[in-house]
Parts: sequence; structure tokens; C-alpha cells
Amino acid sequence: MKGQDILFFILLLITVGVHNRKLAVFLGLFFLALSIPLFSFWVFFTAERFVWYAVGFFCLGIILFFFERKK
Amino acid sequence: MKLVNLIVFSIFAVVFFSWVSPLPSVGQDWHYIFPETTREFSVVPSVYRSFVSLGQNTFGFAGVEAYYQFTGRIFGAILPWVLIEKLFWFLPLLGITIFSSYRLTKSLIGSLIYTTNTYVLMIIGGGQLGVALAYGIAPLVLQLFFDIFPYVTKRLSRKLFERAILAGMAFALQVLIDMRIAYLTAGIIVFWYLWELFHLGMQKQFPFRSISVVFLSVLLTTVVLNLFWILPLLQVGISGVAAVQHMYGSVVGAKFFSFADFSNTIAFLHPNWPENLFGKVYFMRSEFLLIPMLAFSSILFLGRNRVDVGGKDGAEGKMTNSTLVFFVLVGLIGAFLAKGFNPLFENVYQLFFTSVPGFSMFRDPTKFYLLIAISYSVLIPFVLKMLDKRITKIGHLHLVSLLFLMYWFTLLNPVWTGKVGGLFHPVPVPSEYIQLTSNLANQKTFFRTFWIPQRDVYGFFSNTHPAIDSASELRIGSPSGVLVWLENKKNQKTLERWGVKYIILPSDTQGTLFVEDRKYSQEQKDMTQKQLDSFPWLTKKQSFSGGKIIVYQTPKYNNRFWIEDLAGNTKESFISSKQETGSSFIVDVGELDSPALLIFSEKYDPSWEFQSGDKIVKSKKTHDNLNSFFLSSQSAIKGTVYYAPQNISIVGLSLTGIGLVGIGLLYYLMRRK
Repeated sequence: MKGQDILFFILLLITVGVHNRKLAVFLGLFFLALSIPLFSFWVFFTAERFVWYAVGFFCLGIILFFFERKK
Repeated sequence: MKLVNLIVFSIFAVVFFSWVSPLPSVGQDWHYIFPETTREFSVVPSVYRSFVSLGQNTFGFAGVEAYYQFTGRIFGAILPWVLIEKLFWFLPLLGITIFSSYRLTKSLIGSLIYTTNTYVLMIIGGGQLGVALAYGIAPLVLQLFFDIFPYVTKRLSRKLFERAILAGMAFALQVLIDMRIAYLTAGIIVFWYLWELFHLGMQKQFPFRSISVVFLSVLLTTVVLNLFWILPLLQVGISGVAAVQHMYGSVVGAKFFSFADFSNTIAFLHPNWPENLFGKVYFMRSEFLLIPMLAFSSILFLGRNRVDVGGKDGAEGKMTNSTLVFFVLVGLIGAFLAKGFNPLFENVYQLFFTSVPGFSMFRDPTKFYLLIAISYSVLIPFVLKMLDKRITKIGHLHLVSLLFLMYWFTLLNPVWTGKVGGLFHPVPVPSEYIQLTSNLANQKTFFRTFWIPQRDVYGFFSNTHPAIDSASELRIGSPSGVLVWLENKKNQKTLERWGVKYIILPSDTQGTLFVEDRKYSQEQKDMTQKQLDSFPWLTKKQSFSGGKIIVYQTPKYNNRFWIEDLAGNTKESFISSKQETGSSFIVDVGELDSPALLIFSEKYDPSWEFQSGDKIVKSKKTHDNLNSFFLSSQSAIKGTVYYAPQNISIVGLSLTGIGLVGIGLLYYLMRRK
């Protein structure tokens, strides 16, 4: 597991912990934005990983929305 | 909003401007058709076509094929191909896609995204117009099914029937055009219904009767409209279905075709953009990542009960939370599946491919870009509208929308700078192909042509002169492989039995036939020519336009029909044959002094039959996979060789006509107050 994966899981757990849908989405957008310069400079592996993290956070955002609604 | 609309239409005009050209367009899957070809097309839908190689049934694509041949035959006599393709394919495709996407998204920007994204432009550019048409009609099909939902209650209503019939007709048309895209559309529809039923809490009071009405209406209209190929397929049975299945895919094939990474799919970027060279995948273009950022920022706006996304009428056009989440999920699922066997969680695709019925149709995972297109064309206009409301307070300038349009136009720069070829780059028909066509078409007797490695997009073919793509037919990847096959004396006999009179070394107009490292290689073509020149059994017959096309003649070639004795020796006999339709031939064998075999040089298919009087003889396979009919009679034999499923296809067509009238009448009665 790479360093960025650990960072991802930490952020994921924090977001789940604080139950904040908007935080999840903003983190997703953040990772997408971060992957842009990485792709431009051909740092493909990390850039691709960041895209995966972004999708993960978007999915989390949806899940958290369902929990919000239930409350 | 008028400025936004003006810019949207301007972008449409720029992207599709090349279609106004008086020159014809060609793509890998969209060939130039000479009038000598269209005059032999079939007016009646045919489930077999004899102008391709050694013949082929059309079960998997009968609808598009029928439209293609019908328009070509009827209008080919009075209109040049350049007008036929524009009037009956390009313009309807554009009109249907824009109208259909607007019906769903209720936004011209949504239409723009759906109609001019890199996926659909690659599909259109490559000439896959059947897929493009089915893609184009998908939003309309979805919207018609969404319109039914308010009437899906415990009580049946006239409106439910009326809307179910309409939606069923649209879906049936999509199935007729392309089953794979229709399958995906059906998946979205089922997901939508389950999603809405769940959200409305109806899972406890499932409206079984209403859902049944919808399902049965769709099933009935789909089957009725497609009877002309469904009935023959049922007649042929498992082997026919297997033949359709074979057209689609294996796991190995699907792995090979998984060109897009997750970053490509989420960014809505086709992996072959912009040059559309098969197998050539480009580095990720990071500028496309703004697209998913916009689309998924829609999640931030969840929480309000109803959100206006345009549309003028009351509840229509308003986005609810569940609708928004639905389209987000469609986009995520689409992006996940469109990467195929690439990471992340690639085993899921394998599991679906091998377990889910029908999923093996998606050897090419990029078909799932349809889901991304549907999703993003709804979500992005929604986000733009929300941002415009918040940010733009200066007289409804819609600044965010304008900025997005500038960005989108910039993304499409390969189109308006001419880097996207295929159907977006019309060129004159090369003179060498005009000369070749004239030369071949003026020879009225039957023979086949054998193209190395395959027929160019301008290559001539017809029922009288079918063209064999040697690389495809022999399943050999390269010209050199075909040459090795030709060196074998046994295969020279094969060519004779296939009726091959000419071996053609084509002019590679698209730069895709003789390639080295995905680039055109003149050296490869020259080497192929040198080797063909060295074959003593071939005669260099003719060359066109200074050697761009070279035609070699074989020493001997058979007719479409000939007689063999039971030991397999060719018998001298007088046989005359005349092609009646694309799937039937009148054959006059004359008198036989002993039982013999009538050999028919189409690829073996057990559905071929020979009828003479009231006697029917089914085809048996020869040692080299051709058709043979045992003739026991010794007196003059005259009859018809025909592809049996075509007869039942005609029955299916008649039933379709009756069914359509019935369904139309039912719809009219439902609408009457």
C-alpha cells in the first residue's frame, strides 16, 4: 500500500466520522483537481490513484446523503 | 439565455459543418457505395447478404441493414451516394440526437454535451452509424419511460396504457437499430423504476398490475416490430443464436478491447480521441477532468426538496433529490463499467461478462459511455444553472454557462482543426477506385475478388462480384500471413472453389491496411506486391492510377454453382443460375447422367435449401465448408436455392405490418376521450 492510499483511508475515515456529505464531495473535487497537474506532468500512477480516490469520495457523499435523509 | 442558445447552435454548426460538403464521407465502418452496388441491394428486408465475402446472415443487425439496403436501392437510382448518406443517415442522426437529448435534459447545453462528446464523435467519425442512431434515440426512450411513472399506481388508467404503448414503440425501434444500446437503455429504465419505487416507499405496495401492463406493452411492441428477424432466428434455433453470440464476444476479446482507464471514463474522454486509430490509446488529457468536477459537484446541491433545472411547465423539468442521485449513480456505474477489464476492481466486469445474461454483447466496454453521457448531460446543465443563479447577478448573463461553452468548444478543437478524420473529413472518391469499379462492374458474369489484406473503404462489391476481406476470412492478422496462405497450393484450389477471379492489392486510402507501428507503411505494401509478383500462378492483370491498385488474375475460378460427382470430381455440365434476391437463386442444372452434388460456393449454412418442384433438399457441408445439395434425379433439374429463414422473415414482416396497424389503432383509441 502506498503513502497516498493511507492518506486516502485516513481522510475517508475522518469524513465518515464527521458525517459530512459536503466534505466528502469537496475532497472528491480536490483529488480530481490535484490529478490534473499530475496527468499534465505524466505522473500517471499517482494521478490515476487520485481519480480513484475522487470516485470513492463521491460514492461516500451519496452514502452519507442517505444517512442524512434517514435522520 | 438567448446568447447561450446562439452559442450552442454555433458549436453544433462548427462541429458538423463538414457534413454540408458536396463530397462523400467514409470511415472504417462507413464505406463509399457505388451505384453498381446499390442497384443490387434488396428492397425487402433480408436476413442474408451475399455480397460480403462468402455470404453472411444479418440476424444481429437486420434492422439497420434493411434500412441501409432499402434507402440505397430506392434512392440509389436517382441520387448520388453523397446525398443518400447525408439525407438518410447524417441529418436524421443529428436531428434525432439533438431532439431526443433535449427531451430528456430539457437543456440545449445538455443536448450539446450529449451530441458532441468525444465518445459519440468517435462513434460517428468511425462510421458506426447504427450504434450512433441507437445512442441518439436513447434519451427519448428513457424520457418516454420516465413519463409513464406517474401513472404506475395500484389502479390502471388509460394514460398508463397510452404512454406504455408509446414508450414500447420507441424502445422497439431502438432494439431494431442496435440491441446492445437497447440493452443498456433497458438497464437504466429498470434501475429507474426500482429506484423510484423504493424512494416512494412503494416496495410494500408494489403496483404489480401497472408494472405488468408496462412490461407486457413493451414486450409486445418490441417483438411485433422485430418479428422479421426474430422469427427466422427462432427457426434457425441454437445455431443461429450462437452465430449472433459469436458476433459479440469472449473474455479474451473483451480484455483486448478494454482500452479506457478509469480516468478516461470518469473524464468522459474516449481513449482513442481524437485520431480514432484502432488500438491507439493516448495519454490522459487532464483538461477533461473539469467535466466530472462539474458533474459530481451536483451532489453539493442535494438537500433541497425540489430544484429547478429549466422547463416551463409546472412539475416538469424540476429535479428532485432522488432524480439527481439517480443520475449521479448512473454516471458512476457507467464510468466503472466502461473501463472494462482495467483497474479498479476489474474482476467485477469479468463476473458480469460471464454471468449476466446478455452482458457478453459488450466485448467493447466503451458502449457504457452511454450511461456517462446520459448522466453528465443531465447533471452538468443542472450545476451550471445553480451556479449561474448564485454567481451571476448581472442581468441574467449566465456567465458560468458561457464559460462552460467556451471550455467545451476548446475541448472539441480537434474537430474544428481537422484532426478528427473519418466522417468529419469528406474527400473526393479516389480515381483509381472509380476506374476499378467500372472495370469490375462491366463484367457481367459472377466472380469474387480477394483483397489483401482487406477491401478498402472505396472498394467495390456487389452480389455479382462479392468481395472477400482475406485477413478477416482467413483470420490472419497481416498481409504477410495472407501471402503465406497463398503460397500453399491447396489454397490456390480453395480460391478456385470460392470463385475468386481477381486478387486485389488495394490503395490504402485510410492508411490502415498496411501498417507498421500504427502508421501507414509503403514498404509493407511494396513487399506484398513484390511477393504477389513472384507467384507464377498469378497474372498481373492491371494497375490503376500508376500502380496504386494492382489486380492479379487467378488461372481458374468456379462459378457460384457447379456439379460434382459423388467422389468429389468436378463434372462438366451446363448450369445456368440467376440471382433473384439477396438470398435466393434460380438454378437450371440440366440433365444428369448419374446422381451428383450441386455445389454452392457460399459459406456453409444448414439453412440453405434447394427446391425443385415439391422436392426440397437441405444443404450438406462440403470438406471445405461450402454448401452441397444431393441431386438424385437424372432428368432436367431446375429449381431455386434459397435461404430458408428468409421465407419466415417475410411472414414476420407481414405480421409486423398487421401488428403496427393494431398497435396504432389501440394507441388512437386510448387517446380518444
